[in-house]
Amino acid sequence: MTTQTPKAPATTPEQPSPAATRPLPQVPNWRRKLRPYLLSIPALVIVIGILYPFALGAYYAFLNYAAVNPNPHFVWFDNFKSVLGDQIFWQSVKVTLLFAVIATTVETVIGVGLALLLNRSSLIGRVFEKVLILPLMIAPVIAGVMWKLMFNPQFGILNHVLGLGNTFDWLSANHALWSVILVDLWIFTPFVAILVLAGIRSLPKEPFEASQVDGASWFYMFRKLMLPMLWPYILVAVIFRFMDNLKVFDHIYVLTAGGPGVATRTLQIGAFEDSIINLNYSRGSTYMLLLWILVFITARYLVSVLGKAQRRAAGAES
Amino acid sequence: MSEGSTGPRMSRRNMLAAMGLAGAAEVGGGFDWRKASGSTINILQTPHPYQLSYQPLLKEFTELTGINVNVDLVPEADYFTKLNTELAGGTGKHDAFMLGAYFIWQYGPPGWIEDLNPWLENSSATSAEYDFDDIFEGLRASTRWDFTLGAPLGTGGQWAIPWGFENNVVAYNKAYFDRRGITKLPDNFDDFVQLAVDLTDRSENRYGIATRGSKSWATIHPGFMTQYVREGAVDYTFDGTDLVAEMASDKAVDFTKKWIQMQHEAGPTSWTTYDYPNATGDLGDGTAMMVYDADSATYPKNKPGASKEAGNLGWYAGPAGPDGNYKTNLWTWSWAMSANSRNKLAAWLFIQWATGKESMNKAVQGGTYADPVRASVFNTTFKRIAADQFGYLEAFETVIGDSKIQFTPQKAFFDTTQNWAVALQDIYGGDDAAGRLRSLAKTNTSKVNL
Amino acid sequence: MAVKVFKTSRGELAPGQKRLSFGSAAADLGLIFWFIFSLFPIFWMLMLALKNAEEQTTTYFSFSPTWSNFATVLSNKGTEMTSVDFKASLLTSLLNCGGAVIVSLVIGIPAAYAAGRWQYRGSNDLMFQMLSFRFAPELMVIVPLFVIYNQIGLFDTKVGMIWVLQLVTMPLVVWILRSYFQDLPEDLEQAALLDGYTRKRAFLMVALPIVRPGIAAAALLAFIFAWNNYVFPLILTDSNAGTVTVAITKFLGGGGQAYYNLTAAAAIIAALPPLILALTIQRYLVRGLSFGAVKA
Repeated sequence: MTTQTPKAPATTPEQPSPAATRPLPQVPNWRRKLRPYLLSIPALVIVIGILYPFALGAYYAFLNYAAVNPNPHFVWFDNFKSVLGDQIFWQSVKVTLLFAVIATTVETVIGVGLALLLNRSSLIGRVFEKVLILPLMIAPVIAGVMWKLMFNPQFGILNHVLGLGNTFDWLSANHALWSVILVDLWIFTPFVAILVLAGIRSLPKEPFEASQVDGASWFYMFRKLMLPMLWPYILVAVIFRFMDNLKVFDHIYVLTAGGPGVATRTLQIGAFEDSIINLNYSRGSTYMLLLWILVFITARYLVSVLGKAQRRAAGAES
Repeated sequence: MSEGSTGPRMSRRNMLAAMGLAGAAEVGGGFDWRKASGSTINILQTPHPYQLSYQPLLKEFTELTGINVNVDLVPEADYFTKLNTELAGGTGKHDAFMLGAYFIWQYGPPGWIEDLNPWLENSSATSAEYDFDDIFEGLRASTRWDFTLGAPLGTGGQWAIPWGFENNVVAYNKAYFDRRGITKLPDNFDDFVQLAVDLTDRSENRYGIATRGSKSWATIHPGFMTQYVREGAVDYTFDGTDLVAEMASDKAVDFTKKWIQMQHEAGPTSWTTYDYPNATGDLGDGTAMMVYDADSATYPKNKPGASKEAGNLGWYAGPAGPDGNYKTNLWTWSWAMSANSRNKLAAWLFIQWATGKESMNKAVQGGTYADPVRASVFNTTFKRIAADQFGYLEAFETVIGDSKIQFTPQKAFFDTTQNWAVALQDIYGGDDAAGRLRSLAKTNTSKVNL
Repeated sequence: MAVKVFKTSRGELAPGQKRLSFGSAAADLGLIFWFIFSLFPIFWMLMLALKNAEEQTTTYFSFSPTWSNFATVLSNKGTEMTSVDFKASLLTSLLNCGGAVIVSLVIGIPAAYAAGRWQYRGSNDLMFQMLSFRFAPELMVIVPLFVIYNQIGLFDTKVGMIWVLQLVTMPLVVWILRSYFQDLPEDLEQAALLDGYTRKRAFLMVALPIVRPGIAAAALLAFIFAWNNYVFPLILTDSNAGTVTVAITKFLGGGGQAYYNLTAAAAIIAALPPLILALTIQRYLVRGLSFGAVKA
């Protein structure tokens, strides 16, 4: 074994050393193949550990377990029939999808925009970058409480500052969904921005320098180089925001409790109403199992998109 | 039907029964406060003026009985989430907990709470000075039910002991009324609505009447339900076998229309988000001129420094019904005991102490505790403390005779009553009242008889 | 290289950086708009935390500020009101969330590395499984978890919280890092191996430093999500392992009284530890480690 001083990683590109042509140190084949699995075993254990309560929760959906029915028995798909035939359930699906799609899209667009703007390293940018993360520091539950106060038409600061008077209701039946989306994007756009910014900062310089030599405009570089390389990072942020937005509960519940009427009744709020307010755990579990299926399907789809984007990014780099 | 092996709670319950944990019957000998000395109990509370008033007194309990008390506090919005989960999970960790009266209808049937009658009747467990009948009759009845569909409150087990309660009456900005020269307070609902409208001036950010409107069962039970029954409407009628929902009766539709119209013309702009602190808060801020809600919530707001309009508030019983009745819906926070508690005697001693004359007299003196559930405490200490609250005592005495839970007890209370609130929100948003209430009544009738 | 890169005292440009003057002004304007929107509510919360009970909903910008809310939250009076020592709950949160993030990093980094570097058979499935933790609506697992935790004695314990917070932190850590590991050029590690280092050291010395921004971002975000998590500590703890987020909501009050000012003060205090963490970690986020890729 040679004893060279460790090279600092990630310095200047070097010519491949003659050492590269030497064969790698020998490791038994089986060990090499097994390595990735061994590295992943602890994670696997955790996965299994969490699956059990989840499976139990899912099991409730097939019972008729409720407070008025403490000796539940198996009812097969009765709960599903009841929930899927309930018009309010479908209304909640619509609200949930609307919320998730709009909120995630807006958060992503603004978040990526912020990341690009901050990446320029202007003076303002550097100052603001330090406080980018502040809204994330406020727990959604608390943010809901605070925004509800700000939205109040009689004493809230928003109507006062924006000159809307005391008759504009942010949380009326027509406005509630939009206001709730506004709160969500206030809290979580920084999440997207941070992820994408970290991603931008770890992109390799060479492709950009090379294309600048070729005289490429900024837009060209952005579209052909940066965006494809950045897509995987953006998509990770999108996946997380979309999954979380499908399950959204905390701040919406504080703001409107799913109202007025059913205007902001997302699926998890519906599940909460059944499980906790009405103490019908089985029906609540049914709601949540259906929500879980929805999230699963969309995640599967988004992850496959992510895979394609990663392959394309690898192509763009070389 | 499987015999309870799928419910997570069942096996534990059987186990506890097998262990023969002491029920009331096992307590013998003479009464002694120190009977359970050395034990520790866990109690579950939610932030409330009652809880705050009693906090400094807890150490007196420990000195008296030798029982240690661990307090866990859960935020109000999540209190019943936590309590439901714990009771459904059957852990019995908290021996005693704060309970609202309607929750008895939900926690009682699955056997999660202990019937306190045997404890009350056991003179070895209950002090001779306890005087249970000193507690107002409406309250004692409101916490008893036999869980039979169609049976009224007042018979069956005693599922919780009332601790503090609220009458739903009207609090108003007396200083403003005096400035405006309003001397006669409306004694019927139409005049009341008219007054509220007259008081409203949006350009001055002032409106006539604040009530709850958020998407919750809690929107129905204070002012709305009180006036609803005063106007002669009922929530359900019992036809011998089933309950029939009556929210779409003529009187009900009439009243509901007027109530919603009042919100539009004289209520807060964001009525559909207004919850308990919003409604009472606006009165304290001087934005709302009247509030139709719990007297105990507006009571502390009149203390100096508590709110902007402190010192300016007054109370009255609200508009009477067309026949002059003052039926009022009450809410009570009570103490209940977990059926799975492992320290039942200690828990019972705590409940006894907390609802006893001595501690209640002390708590009332703090000036934020209203209303005391005991007639003796009311007639002496409370009358003294609240004497300077304009109209408060008169309002109380006007309604106390007819103040009880006006709802028909049923196990689907929260589901059906939240639906009712949703219907109100829909009507507020423009739905036709009669049609919407008819569909509500249909849904509720089917839910209530399941 | 004849690259027209404008080198100023601010240093080298990284990919995508430009210094046009007009575009810069417009861009800065955009940033300013966002930050007004983003920071105004925080500023308002700070004002609310300085208001007394009378003024919390009756004043806008002019009021008489007082520190008493912060004092109450941190003092015995606050403990009496909420039955929880706020300062202690801050510490508990630190232990719970820090512990959860550390566990996620220790377990997640190898798993992300394995999946990112070698797309071995089943790696996509395992990765998807880890993501699927986040699908589970919290309410779905909360009742079974409550029962199970009580049965195995993890209820109201820090260990129990750390485990359940894995539902929140692990997917973030693994998925963020997998992207970074996938981008990791193999050649650098090969070079280290050829220089005689074991794979483990190659990993620690070459791979890990390169993905440091990723680890920083993942750890920070995971910590914040764990810190702000509400449902799990609410249901699965009582007073021993209760987190600060639940403690904040206890200040809201009840029975028709609302102490928004106390709640705001508590929320601001509770936001400080994650903020300090964010500011400390920022240099790892900022420093753009561009790896000079050796293209084969």
